[in-house]
Amino acid sequence: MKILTCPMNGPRNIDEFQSFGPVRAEPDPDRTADTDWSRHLFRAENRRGIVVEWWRHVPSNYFFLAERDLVTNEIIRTFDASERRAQS
Amino acid sequence: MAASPVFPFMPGGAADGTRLPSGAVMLTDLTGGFRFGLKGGGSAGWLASQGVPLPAVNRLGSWRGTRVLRLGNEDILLLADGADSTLAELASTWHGATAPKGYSSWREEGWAWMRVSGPQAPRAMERLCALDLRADKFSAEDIAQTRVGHIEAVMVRSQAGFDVLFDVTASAYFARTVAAAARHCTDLLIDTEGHT
Amino acid sequence: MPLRLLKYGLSRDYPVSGDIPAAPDLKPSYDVVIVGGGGHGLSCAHHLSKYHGIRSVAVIEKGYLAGGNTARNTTTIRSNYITPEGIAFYKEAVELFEGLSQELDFNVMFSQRGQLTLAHTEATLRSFHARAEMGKHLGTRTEVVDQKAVEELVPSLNMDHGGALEILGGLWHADGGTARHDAVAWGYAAQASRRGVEIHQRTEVEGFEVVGDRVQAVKTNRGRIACGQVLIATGGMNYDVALMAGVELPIRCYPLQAMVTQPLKPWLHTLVSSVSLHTYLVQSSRGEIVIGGGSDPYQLYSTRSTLDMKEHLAEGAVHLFPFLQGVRLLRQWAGITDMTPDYSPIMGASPLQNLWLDCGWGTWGFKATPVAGKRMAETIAKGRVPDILKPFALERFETFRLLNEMGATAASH
Repeated sequence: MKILTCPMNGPRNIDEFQSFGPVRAEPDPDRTADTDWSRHLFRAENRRGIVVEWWRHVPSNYFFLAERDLVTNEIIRTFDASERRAQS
Repeated sequence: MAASPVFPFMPGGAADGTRLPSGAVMLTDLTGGFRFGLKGGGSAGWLASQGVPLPAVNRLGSWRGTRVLRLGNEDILLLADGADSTLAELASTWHGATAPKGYSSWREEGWAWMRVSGPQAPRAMERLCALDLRADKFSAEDIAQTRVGHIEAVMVRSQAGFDVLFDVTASAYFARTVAAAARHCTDLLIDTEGHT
Repeated sequence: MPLRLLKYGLSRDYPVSGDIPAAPDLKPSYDVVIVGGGGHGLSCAHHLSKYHGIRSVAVIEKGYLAGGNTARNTTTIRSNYITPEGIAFYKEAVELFEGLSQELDFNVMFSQRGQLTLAHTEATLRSFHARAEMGKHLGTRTEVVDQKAVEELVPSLNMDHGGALEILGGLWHADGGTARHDAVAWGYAAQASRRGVEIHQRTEVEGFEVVGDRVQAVKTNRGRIACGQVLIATGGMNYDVALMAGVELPIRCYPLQAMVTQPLKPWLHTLVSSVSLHTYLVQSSRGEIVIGGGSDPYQLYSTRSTLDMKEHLAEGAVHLFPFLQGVRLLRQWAGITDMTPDYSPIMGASPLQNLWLDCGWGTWGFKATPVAGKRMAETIAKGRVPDILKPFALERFETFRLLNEMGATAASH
C-alpha cells in the first residue's frame, strides 16, 4: 500500500489517513462579497501540479499538511501546521 | 488458563457473553481498570503543575506507579495499573480545579482496554497490525496510534504482551478478530469457547 | 473453408462498409465544434444533425472515439435521484434509452432489469422513503421494499440476519437498467457521420482564441478551426479544457476504479447496490460481474489502480454474495471523474457567449448520454437553455442554489 509519512506518527499506510483537500484562503466572512464567498466554498485547487493539502491521521486525530503532485501522486513532503503559520 | 469473559461494560449489550481467546494467544479485558484522560488546551500545563512528568508525543512515561501516555501535545492518558488511589486523587483534584485544565476525554467510558499476551502474541499481532512491532523497532517506551484489526487503536507494550485501547463499542468485534488471527498463525490450541 | 471465407472477404461484390467514414482534413471553420468524442459529444452531434439541421459539425477527440470515461464507466442507467430537478432530467434519460436502439438503428443492448439499492441501517431506509415518494410523484417507478421482497428479487443475497450489516430493506427501481457503452457511442457516431458530421480523432485542443466574450476559434494540434458555437464535453478533462478558455469550473478530479470477474452463468438478474458498503454489482451480457464503488479518497489525475480499493470492492462483493469468494478477477481499470460540489452536472451557458458546457459528470455521466446530447443540441441550436437544464447552470454555485445528489451517487462521502 502507498505510504504517507505523518509528521507525528511516522510512515503509515495511506488508508490510516483522511484527505481534507487543498488548503484554501481564509476570507473574512464579514468583508467578503457573495461571489468571492461562493468561490471560496466551491472551487478548490485542481490544476495539474503540486498542491498543499490538509490531511488527518485518523487514529490520532492529528491534522497536518502535505505537498503532493496531483499527476504523479508523489508525496513531496509533509509538515506540521505550525510551519504554515510560520511561513505566512 | 480459562478463557475470560469480556468486561461487562453494558450487561445485555452486544458484547455481553463474548468469550476471549486463551492459550498460545490470550486476550484479557482490562476495560474495568481505572484510567484518566485529559484533552484540549491546558491539559499538559495542568498535569505538569501537579508534578506529573510529561514524556514527548507518542512516548510513554510513569508517575507514582501509573503509566503516562502522551497521545498528542494536549492529549494525555494515565493508566492506573493498580495505583488506583493515586490516580483517583488526581482526578478528584482536577474536578475541583479551575480552568485552564483541559477537559475530560472520558477514556474510562469511551475506550476498551485489552491485553494481547501469550507465547504466540507477536505472531498474532503481525497479522493484526501493519507496523513493525519487533522489540528493536517498537520499544517499551513507544506508543503506536494506528490500526489494529482494521480499527483505530492506541497500542503500547506491556510486560506480558501488548495493551490495546480502542472504541468500546468494538469490543466483541475485536475479540473475534484476535481469535481469528490467532487461529491463522498457530496450530496450537486456541480456546474461544471457555473450555480449559 | 478458410479459402472460401477469404474469397468472400476480398470479393468486390461485398465491399467493406465502416460505420464511421475516415475523417477528411480539418476545414477552416464549422458552425459547431464539439470538443470531446465520447458518448455525450457524439449524442449532441447526432441530435444537432438529425433534429436541428445543423450539419457543419466537427467532433474533435484527443484520443480515440469513446475511449475515455465512456469506456470506463459501469453502464448504470437509472433515475432514482433525490432532487426533483435531478429526477426529471434522468427520467428523460431513461425514456430515451428505452427507444435508443430504434433511434440509432443499432442494438445498444438496453436491458431494463431494475436496480435494487440495499439499506443496512434505519437511516438509509428513511432516506429511501423520501427518494421513493419524490420518484413516484414525478412518474418514475421507485418504491421501498421490505426484507421479504429483497429476498425474492435477489435470492442469492446474504441478508446477514442478526449481523451488523443486516439488509433491512431496499429501494427498488424498476426503470433501472444497463446498456452496452461502446454501442451507444458507436450508434451515435454512425448516425451523425451519415448526416455529415465530421469526427476527428487524434485531434487535441491546445487553446481557444477568445475575443471579447466569444470564442473565435479552437486551436488544435492539426490547426486552427474557426467556430460558430463550441461545446465542451470532455469528461475527466473538463476542468483543463474549460480553463484554456479562461473558465474555472468548480470541479475536482478523482480516480474511479472498477473491475470485472471471470464470466459466470447468468444468476444476477438485477443491478444491486449497497449504500453502506459503497459497492455495486451487475452481471454483464457476457456473464462477467462488473463491480464498482466510490471514487478514490483523494484528488488525483492518475488512472492507476490500487490494491486497497480492489480489496474494498472485493470485500463488499463477497459480503453480499459470499459464493463469489473463489471467483477470479479478469480486468480492472480506472477513469478520472470531474466531481462537482453537489454531485450534479453543470450544463448550459458559460461566461462566454458561444461556449457551452456539458461538464461535471463525475461518476454519473453514462446514463445521461442521450438526454445531455439532446438537450445540449437544443441549447446550441436555439441559443437558449431549455427549462429542464436551467437548474444545472454554472451560476447555481454563486446563487447558492445547489442540487445535492450526494446521497444518490456511488461516490465517496
